[in-house]
Amino acid sequence: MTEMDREDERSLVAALRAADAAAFDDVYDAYRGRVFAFLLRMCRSRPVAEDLLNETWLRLVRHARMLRDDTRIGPWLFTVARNLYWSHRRASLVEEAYAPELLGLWPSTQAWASPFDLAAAEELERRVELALSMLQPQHREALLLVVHEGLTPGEAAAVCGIKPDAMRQRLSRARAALAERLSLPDGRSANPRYGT
Amino acid sequence: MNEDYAGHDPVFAALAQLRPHDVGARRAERLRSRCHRVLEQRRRRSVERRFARMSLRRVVVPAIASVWCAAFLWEILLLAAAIYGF
Repeated sequence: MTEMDREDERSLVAALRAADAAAFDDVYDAYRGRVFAFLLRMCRSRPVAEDLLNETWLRLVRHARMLRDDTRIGPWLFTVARNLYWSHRRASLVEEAYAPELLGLWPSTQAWASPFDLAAAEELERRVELALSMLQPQHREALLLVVHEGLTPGEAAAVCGIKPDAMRQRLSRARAALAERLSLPDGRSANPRYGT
Repeated sequence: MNEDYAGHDPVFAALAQLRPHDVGARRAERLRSRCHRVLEQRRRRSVERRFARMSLRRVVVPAIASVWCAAFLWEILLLAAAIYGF
């Protein structure tokens, strides 16, 4: 399950409030990978992303009874994950040093038409991952939430605690920064604005 | 993936095609079990709270009513004693 319709989501929220384990399993299976991928691309450290993922889900089960009827589960989870990431970042100042680490994390189960296609796709993906990892965290989270995770700019703005217009602006700047980095062969920009 | 963005822009399209990630199966199951335990604790606590509220209602309300009745009876006896000059 990747997308939930509103009625399903309302009943899941009601079941979660009643501490229903089956409802939790549905939400967990639908969002675990997405939230982990978001955290991994934000943190660029697998152990840190795993710890933050644990905390995100534990917060859901601990605070489930306080969810409102109209709570959107996806944006709620991304909000918690994002806040945990920023708290962690503020606390430890871990940043920027782990970009190459991400490159070894891709699963290799996807089927491709030929070795050439595989190599070409992996090369493009490597460049995109690297360029993404070198963006400012605010730009990175905007791109991940809206383009990769499929949140609307309004939902992503709520996750990040900013106005929808500001999110659209941030998204536009993030796109420009990513495009600039992708235009160079190794994904590195000569412009230090987008670096550390 | 957001089709509104990825469908019209090569940069967004490249971003949208990035592969998914997930934690290992064992770690995922460990976390699931941990969350189930928390949910189970919550459910048990909520049942206990409900039971405690019910017990309170079963014990305290009759006790208050009994005390009130006893006081009322005592007053009637005192009044009767006063009327008959005891």
